[in-house]
Amino acid sequence: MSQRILMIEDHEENRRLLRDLLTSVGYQLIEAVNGEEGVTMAETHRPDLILMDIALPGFDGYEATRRIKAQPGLRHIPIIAVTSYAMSGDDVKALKAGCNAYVTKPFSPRALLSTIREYLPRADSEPPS
Amino acid sequence: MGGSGLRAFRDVSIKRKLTLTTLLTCTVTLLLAGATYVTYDLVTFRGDMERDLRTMGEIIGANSAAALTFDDQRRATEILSSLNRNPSILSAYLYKKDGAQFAKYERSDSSAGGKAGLLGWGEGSLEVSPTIIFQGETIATLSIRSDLRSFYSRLVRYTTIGVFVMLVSLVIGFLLSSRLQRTISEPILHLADTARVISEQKDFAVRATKESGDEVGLLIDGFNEMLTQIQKRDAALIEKGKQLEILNRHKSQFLANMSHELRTPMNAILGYTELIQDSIYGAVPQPIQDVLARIDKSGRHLLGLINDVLDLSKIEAGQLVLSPSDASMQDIVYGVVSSLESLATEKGLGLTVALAPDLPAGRFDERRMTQVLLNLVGNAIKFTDAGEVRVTVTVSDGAFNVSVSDTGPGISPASHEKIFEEFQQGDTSSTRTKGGTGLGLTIAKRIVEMHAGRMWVESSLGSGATFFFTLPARPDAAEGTP
Repeated sequence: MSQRILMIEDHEENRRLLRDLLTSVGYQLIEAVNGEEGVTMAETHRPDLILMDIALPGFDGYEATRRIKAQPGLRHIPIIAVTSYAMSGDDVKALKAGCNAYVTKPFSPRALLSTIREYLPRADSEPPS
Repeated sequence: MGGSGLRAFRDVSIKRKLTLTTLLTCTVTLLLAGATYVTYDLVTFRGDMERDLRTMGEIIGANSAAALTFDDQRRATEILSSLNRNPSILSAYLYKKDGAQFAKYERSDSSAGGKAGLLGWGEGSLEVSPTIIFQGETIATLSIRSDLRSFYSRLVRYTTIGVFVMLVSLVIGFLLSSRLQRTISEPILHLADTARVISEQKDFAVRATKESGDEVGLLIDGFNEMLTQIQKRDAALIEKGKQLEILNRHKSQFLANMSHELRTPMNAILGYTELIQDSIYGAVPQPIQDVLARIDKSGRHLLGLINDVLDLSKIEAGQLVLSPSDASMQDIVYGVVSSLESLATEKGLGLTVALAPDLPAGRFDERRMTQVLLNLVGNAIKFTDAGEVRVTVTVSDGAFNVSVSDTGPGISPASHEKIFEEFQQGDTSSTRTKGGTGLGLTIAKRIVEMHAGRMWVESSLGSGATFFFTLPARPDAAEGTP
């Protein structure tokens, strides 16, 4: 069974980009458009990894990360934050909130993929090349 | 001499000037009045003396008339001798009509001369020669001489009194004028004092107190009015400054927001380009790959511009917050050099590093300092076509001295300041040929300055350029940390 990634991202274009990228290398993708929905989906779907946008409507990515990491059953799920270059100090804040790693927006899909693979080494699909 | 004396008087304090003026006026007035009075008195006194002497001579003459008529020389001498009762009379001679001396009196101690003459009075003596008339006929001439001792003693007495009165008047004048001059000098001194306090403390709310309605009062009114106008102008300037600051903040906020908004679509453009390049959507023929590479390059350039504009607007708005941490200058230098090495090698340039041994651990914003060095070394490589780029780090006075030197075309001294300004490069045409945003150096300099360091360039056309910056190793230990 392919590994499942939960993407919490409010921006439609970015969701499509990530979807194209991640499905092309064989990951299974579930999507949430805000922090609240993201936390609920993490609880119900128990993904293998979470991609967390920081600038989200409602409560932001930090808060969503804290809520997920506060649940013993979800604590082990690696969370990669997608921070914005515009906000200096976001990286530190993301790590403090409990994120395992971060990529800075705009991100290179290649770089993002290699970061994801650090946490999901057993990806059962190879990208078509 | 008079000119220089007057000039020296000009620099004397007002207090002393007023006192001196009063005393000088006093002295001249007293001298003139005293001299006039004494001269008048002495002239009158001399006239009285002469008249008295003449009267005395006429009485003697009248008494001698009988002796002359009877040719009684003994009696005439006796009459003349009666003059010894007046100690001033020096001598008396009685001459008959034919000029022959008939009788004489000479004071026993007469030295015939006395003191030196004064006011044209001969040998210090006074002489009258009344004629003796008997029954309408001149029968003899009397010559009577008196000394001037009473005149001189009067002169001495008057002079003594005069000097004494003058001294007393001057003392009283001095006391009076030093008290009275205060009514003029004190308001002026108060005004001068107020002006000094205002310029020292830059407190324009202070006012001079007006105590009189005279010219000094007018001066103080004018001074205070001027202060009021300065205050009004200052308030207007401060208000203007605040408005400008708000406007500037709005501008920077706008730029920051805009840069953020511009970046979101950039994510999609660059991301999709990369996905296509990586054949996510199927195989890509070589010509399309070339176009994609160009899209990617332009996209990254645009992203660099957006990032730089954002950085700069954050710095200008004071929103760029440094995150200092314990950092190694050595690591940063090697990190930057290794990431730019391939670029240098591509152009056939040497890229060398010379670090002083035992560089101390530093405390600064590692990411921002990397940005500074990346910019300097990147620029050096970009503008140098042959030779080498050298990064040197030394330590002095607890600060890193970093220099990046190249063997490029150099920068004319006229541009040394200008290249640190926004959108300025050594040669405006080079922006197009060399790329870059024209903001990198400005940002690098600002970042160094935010770390309490300094950045400058030393170069001349044709002999390469060296960019220097200093960076306090541990700014918290030094003072004046932002």
